[in-house]
Amino acid sequence: MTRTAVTGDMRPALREVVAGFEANALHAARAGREVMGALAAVAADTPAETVDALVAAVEGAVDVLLAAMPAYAPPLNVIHRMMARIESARREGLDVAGLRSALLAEAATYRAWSERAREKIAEIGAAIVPEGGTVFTFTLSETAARTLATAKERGKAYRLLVTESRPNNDGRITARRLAEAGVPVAIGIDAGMGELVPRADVMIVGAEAIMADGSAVCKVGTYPAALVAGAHGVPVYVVADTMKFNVSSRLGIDLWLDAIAADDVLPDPPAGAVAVIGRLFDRTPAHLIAGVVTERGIMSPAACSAAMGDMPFSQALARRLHAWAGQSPHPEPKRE
Amino acid sequence: MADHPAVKNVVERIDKDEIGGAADTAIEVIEALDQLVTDSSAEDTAALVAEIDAAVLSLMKVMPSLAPPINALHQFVGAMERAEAAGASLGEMKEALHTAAGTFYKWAEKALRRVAQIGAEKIKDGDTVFMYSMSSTVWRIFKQAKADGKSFSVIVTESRPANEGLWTVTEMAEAGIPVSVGIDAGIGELIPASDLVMIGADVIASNGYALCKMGSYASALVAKAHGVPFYIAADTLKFDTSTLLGLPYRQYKVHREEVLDDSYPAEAKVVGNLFDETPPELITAIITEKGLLHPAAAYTVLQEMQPSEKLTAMLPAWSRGEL
Repeated sequence: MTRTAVTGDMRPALREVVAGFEANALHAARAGREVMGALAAVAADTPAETVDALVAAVEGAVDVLLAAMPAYAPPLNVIHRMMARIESARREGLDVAGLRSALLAEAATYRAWSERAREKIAEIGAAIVPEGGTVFTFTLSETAARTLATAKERGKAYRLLVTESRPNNDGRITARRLAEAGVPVAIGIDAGMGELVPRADVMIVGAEAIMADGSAVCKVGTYPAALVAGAHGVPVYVVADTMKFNVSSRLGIDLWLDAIAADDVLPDPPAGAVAVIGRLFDRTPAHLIAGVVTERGIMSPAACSAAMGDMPFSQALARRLHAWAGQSPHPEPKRE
Repeated sequence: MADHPAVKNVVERIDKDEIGGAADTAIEVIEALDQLVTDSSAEDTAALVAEIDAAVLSLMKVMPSLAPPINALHQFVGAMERAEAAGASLGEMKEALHTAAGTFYKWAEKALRRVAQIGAEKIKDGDTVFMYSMSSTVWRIFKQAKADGKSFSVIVTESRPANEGLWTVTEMAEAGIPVSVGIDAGIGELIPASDLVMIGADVIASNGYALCKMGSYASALVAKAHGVPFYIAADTLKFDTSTLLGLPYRQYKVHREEVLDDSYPAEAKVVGNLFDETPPELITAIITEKGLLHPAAAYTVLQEMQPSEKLTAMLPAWSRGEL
């Protein structure tokens, strides 16, 4: 992460999350849970005696989080949820104690929901792993890894193909984990997707976000792998709970897609007009996605888009997000 | 009969993979055979033919799946077969073989220049050209375009596992051509941001498929999906006569240690080849010294080559590694 937040007067819970973002240590789903935890801690600990003071404290925390946050849908949705609760609390005329307990209840509901959602997705996703077949997955996704491990636990015999996923080589972690779980795993280079994807019966990947146009933002390489899958009739499933449905994208607000660090590719660049180009995520369009495996069941990308209409949405946050997206600290890939 | 020292030397250099590119291998092979003919103490054509046959067998035993040196051998051995059939004297056969070698050197030099000129025509001022891995043929095209006064930039990706894409970065930096490098997984972003793709090939098959560095096929799919023209740059020496016989390419595997270190469980295997095949429907055109060709023209090009009968007979065993 290139963003640096103001870390002065900050609650410990908040400081911890910001540090996690800056160290690039929080994956998307976990970021949602951590942000919810931090906002709940601020709501609980703030010595506010008026509704306005409590709201100001929460909104202050939101600003700090937005400044540190990468382009993940779950934490954005969590903030939508908390701010939408504040907006409804104001309409209900709750006092400060009422608002505080409403926010804490919201956080508790979310935690319970999140845990249940992960289990449900793993169960549903395990059902699409073909008995005796081959699954291609890309990089490391906690949701996908859990799904694959659950399929193994349910007695499914299948083979797993994965590629390295440069620059972090997270695919190797997936290979190690599933091999240790007793799944026959084979790993190739990312460029090998044209050879490996056609050998699979199904492709199952995680996502950072599902967008309003039904596309999925995933680790870079997922889109070309999905193109190969499309050309060879291999169905592509994205496993993602509905917190990954990026409600802000309904307003046309894009997610920043972080650039690859130059050092990861050219630690010692030659003299001349030389640049490192590219982002860490790419976008797989809806027409290449057979289904999105959510805690509600397997949905078409179009249904995901429709479902966003029913999700908590804060107008106040949306106004901030327009500016947030416009002030992206993440530079466009260099074009010489 | 012991091989001529020049032949022995090339056999060793091929075996140890010391020769830079396929075209250079072709030239060194013909130079060695040319030298053998000059130095031969054969007293009749049968003895000379036997010497050459033995040398060709030694060369083919170590020959990797490189079409250019094999095609060069087709030309040389083909000239010998024609001289034999015409009842040439020893002197006439030697003369015919020196002529075949000389024609080949001149052809090779001119072909590489022609490919560069024709390829450079496809690059317009202000273009961004995506290339994959490294290819001396594509590099020559870029340098020609630069010499023609065109201002353009190049995007390349690493090309794991050997990272030959980084050689392209160095080569372009030295040539003063702006270059950007990304990761192989980034093709889905980088190709749509380019105006055209140019990729070097190892082999063009008789059905118009191109065998290129692994990752080229996925790149071609991205290019097709985004309407980006996809060119293969290859002189016709890369057109592989063994594919006419339906023989498989020799493939090379990604090595385990290039992907996983010792800390990984043995149950985790490493899979994949170093080359993949791009089908003709994804290829806009092949840039050859004969001009821009539709990949379907590969068969016609191969027909015009007049492959040697002896070498053709050797290819099935060669392709199985049983020579």
